[in-house]
Amino acid sequence: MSLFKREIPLVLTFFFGFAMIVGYYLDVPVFIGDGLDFLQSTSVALANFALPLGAFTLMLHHGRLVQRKTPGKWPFSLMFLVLFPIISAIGIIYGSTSSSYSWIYTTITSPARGAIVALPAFYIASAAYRAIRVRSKEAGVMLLMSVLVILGNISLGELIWPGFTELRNWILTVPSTGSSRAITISLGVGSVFYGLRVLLGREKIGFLGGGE
Amino acid sequence: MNAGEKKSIWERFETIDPRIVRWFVVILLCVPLVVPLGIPIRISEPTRAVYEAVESLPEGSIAWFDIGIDLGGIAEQGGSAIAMFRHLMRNNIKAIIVGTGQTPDCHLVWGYMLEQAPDIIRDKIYGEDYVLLGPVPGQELSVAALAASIVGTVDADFYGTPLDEIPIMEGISDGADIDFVWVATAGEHHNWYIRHWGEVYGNVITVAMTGPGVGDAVAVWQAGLIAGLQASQRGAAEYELITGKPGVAIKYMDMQSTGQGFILLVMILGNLGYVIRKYGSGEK
Repeated sequence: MSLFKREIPLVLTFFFGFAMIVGYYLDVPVFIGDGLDFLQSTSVALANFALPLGAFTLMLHHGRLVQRKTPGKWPFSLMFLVLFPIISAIGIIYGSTSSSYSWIYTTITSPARGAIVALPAFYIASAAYRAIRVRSKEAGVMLLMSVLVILGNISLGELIWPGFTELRNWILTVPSTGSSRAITISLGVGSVFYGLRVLLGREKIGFLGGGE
Repeated sequence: MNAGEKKSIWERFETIDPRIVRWFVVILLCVPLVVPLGIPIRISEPTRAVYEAVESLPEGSIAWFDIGIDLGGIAEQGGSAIAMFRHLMRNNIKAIIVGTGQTPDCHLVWGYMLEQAPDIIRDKIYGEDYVLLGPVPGQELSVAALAASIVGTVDADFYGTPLDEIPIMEGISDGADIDFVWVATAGEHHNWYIRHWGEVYGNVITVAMTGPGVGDAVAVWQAGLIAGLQASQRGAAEYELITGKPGVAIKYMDMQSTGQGFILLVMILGNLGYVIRKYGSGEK
């Protein structure tokens, strides 16, 4: 069955991948351009298929945790198994603009998500205090940069000395931008070669039976 | 140090209980809510560039307003979104509101914006001055698809009205018909717009970015790929200031000053304690 597991997916990947690259970089005839636009619109619809698949896998995973009564996990999984279908059903039956769905979102999901986003701030505070120590020259530079960026970022810093803002801007636009560009360029070059390997079937990835 | 030996003040600075640090942060974040400090803020160059980009748009231009953040990002980006939308409406620029981020929350963030600042749509008509298309799933795929064909990707607004019945959508078919793109993001959302909109159609793009992504976004701004940047909470506060309508972001800046100021203080004290213990005792 190698034909269906490897050759056909590889040919399809190569054909569509190559077509998209050509369409992006070259001025192609209108009918080809329209075809590529159609492919892009289709890919948005295809992306939506991932949602029910993800929901199913999630249910399966948590179902197993409950079945095995995995210590420290199964009560949360049980909560998920009860709440997930209820909230999904409300959203599907009454719609995501309905008052009941909005109520769930604004009174449960939103505050919970806000709390999760806010919590790390306190841990970052204590972690920054414990972790950033001048144990080496490099750590010293990092501490200095951290102090200057924080002082330039907060309005209190500007009140102490207006130059902190300029220093912070310089750090962001010169050393930070330089290193960021180096990473971006490396990533870009790496992505091109990775993409070529995928298109040519040289990369061991899921749909080609990678990892076997 | 032997057990029972009394710690010096410097050693105490080095070993402050993390729980004390966290509690102090909580208290110091609450102080400005009770007693606003009103510390002045100066407008930075990237924020001014965003303002000038909007000011340079002629009346009746079409802005693409992508709320790429979820409800968790409101505290940091909500101020930017409100101030930007107000500015667009004040300058009679029409806005198409979408959300191509990871979570389909843009309509809820939009609801929050209206709750916080109902004046942003005062005297404006839905469908003529602004429209909510709602979340478009697919992330970069959807941004690319929208660039190629807006009407081919979304056929109705968030409330189900077909796009061809909405006056603002008349004559708009793809990214080429959009004059200005504003995107709020906590990641690399802006890069999708640069790749599929800016580089293809030459749209003016400005970005509101959360704190951790500011370094990368500044690099993109310096390269000229985006016209301006509202950097984190500070960028939001600066935009409120430059558009002449102080709001939540300016209030949060005081909290940032007290909270981050304290973190800075304990970092410095901890390091002083470390250096004095290390070099004072001759330890290498």
